Amino acid sequence: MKRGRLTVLFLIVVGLLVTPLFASAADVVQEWKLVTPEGVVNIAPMQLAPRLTTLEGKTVVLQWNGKTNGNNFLNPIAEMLTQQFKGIKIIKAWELAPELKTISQSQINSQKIADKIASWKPDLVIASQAD
Amino acid sequence: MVDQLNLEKKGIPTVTFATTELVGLAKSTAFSMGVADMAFVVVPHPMGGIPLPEITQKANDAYPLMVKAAIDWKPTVTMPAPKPVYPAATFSFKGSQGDVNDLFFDKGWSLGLPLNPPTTEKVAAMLKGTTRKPDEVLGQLKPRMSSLTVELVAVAGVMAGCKPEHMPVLIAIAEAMLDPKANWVGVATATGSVGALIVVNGPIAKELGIASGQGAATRGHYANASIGYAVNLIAMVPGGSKPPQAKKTTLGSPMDFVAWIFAENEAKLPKGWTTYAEDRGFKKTDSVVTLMGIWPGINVVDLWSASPEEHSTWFSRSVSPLNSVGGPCFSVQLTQPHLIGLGPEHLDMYVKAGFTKDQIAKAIWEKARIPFSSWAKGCPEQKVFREKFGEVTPDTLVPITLKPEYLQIVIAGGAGQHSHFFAPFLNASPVSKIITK
Repeated sequence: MKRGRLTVLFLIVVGLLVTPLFASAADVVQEWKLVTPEGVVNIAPMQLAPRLTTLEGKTVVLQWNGKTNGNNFLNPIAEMLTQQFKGIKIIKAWELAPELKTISQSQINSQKIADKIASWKPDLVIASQAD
Repeated sequence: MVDQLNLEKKGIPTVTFATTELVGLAKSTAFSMGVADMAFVVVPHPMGGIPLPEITQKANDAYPLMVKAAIDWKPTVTMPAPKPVYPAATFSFKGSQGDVNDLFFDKGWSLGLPLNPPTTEKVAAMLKGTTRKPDEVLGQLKPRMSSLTVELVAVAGVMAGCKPEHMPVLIAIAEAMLDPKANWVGVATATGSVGALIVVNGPIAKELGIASGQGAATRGHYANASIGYAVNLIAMVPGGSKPPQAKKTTLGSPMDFVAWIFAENEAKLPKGWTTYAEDRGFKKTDSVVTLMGIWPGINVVDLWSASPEEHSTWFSRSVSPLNSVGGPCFSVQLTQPHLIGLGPEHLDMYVKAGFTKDQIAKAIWEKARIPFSSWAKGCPEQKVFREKFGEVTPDTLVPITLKPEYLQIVIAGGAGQHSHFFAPFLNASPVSKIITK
């Protein structure tokens, strides 16, 4: 009986000694000195255009990127603006220049769209992403 | 979004309607151009695909917010002050490797795959694989616009299990990602399941064991796997192509984890033929990577064709539906290079019949057509398309690209009757960079 207990105790001790040898390196707790992988974002701030204080008498361009329902969303917006603000002029870009009814997809195309809209000298542009 | 930012630059104020699901992407685009806050009006998603009364109601609900944004809006957030880009910050952490993986995942620095902890020692060892200085800024990687240093490329390399000798390839790929012609910001943020295709040419493939023959883009190739993984770490961690805010893919694909990467099977090129890199203006002795943002590639199986006539017919029929993402909906794709990954056994068929590379592209191009009626009437560029190409009827067969030259050929893979087709993402042209050690 006593010999049996000693055998069990011996096996437990051996087990405790051997277990760490079988533990994978991944499970070993250690002190790491790690490099942050995301880097730094340094972007020069861009100045936004001066804001309006009223829409009365202003020229407003509505820009639709061609995604479904964008026009159906902007049409009632146009109606409500016309009703609320005296002398407001609404330009639906997609009617005046159908080629603007598109996702610009590149900075060059985007610049062209912006140039075209700017040529109408708007006071404000309201755009619908329409996703 | 970029359109509105360009208008603001011109001194024209804007108000942008964006949906709850996509306003995050719009904001991150604005941030990447130096605007921390903009006049947004958030509309419950979706706007598309809902009936007229529903979209009208959304317009009515949004209208008062729009008026407020137009005449009573001020930015509340400013851009952060600049910080030094090198050296990257370091930190101490106590735990197991599994704990490091968990930490990185929690911080958004992990794709969800196991990664090697980027210790200062391992990053220093990785940097020994290049003669480039660790503080060199390769550019501002979109969409996050982080300053991508050589050191950060090394960090991603360590995390992905790359070897130091892979560094020149990783740097060349990073340079391609930063090239505006790659339209990486589009690839990184698109709602489509788009990702990176990388073709390697030249002696570096053999030197590093970048697979080029049988199953070149499958499992079991250490260099392909680790480099392809590192590309996505660069894209997501410093680059910020992170779902759900910036990476808005509707579903995504395995390309979001490991880029589709293989070396051209130059050994199978017929005598006198040029490599893909040579076709793009490089020398045969140059080691070159070519990166292209692609829609998921198509495997065109053809066990049956006995002639170029049969193969080009089947191949063109198989890939023509891809034109559904181009054509009058996105006409820009008509003038973008598309890549045919021609399998060596299909190549043999053409070569035995005396075809040149250009003739193969032309044979496929001539049959790769789809009727104009295939596209929904709402395709936004139909009017432009008609203006550009003249009046079309529903039966008019529209070519997959405007010219056969836009179908380019790379010899891809090994034995087996399979070829592949890689259509480019919008405005994403293939970009080639020389690999320099």
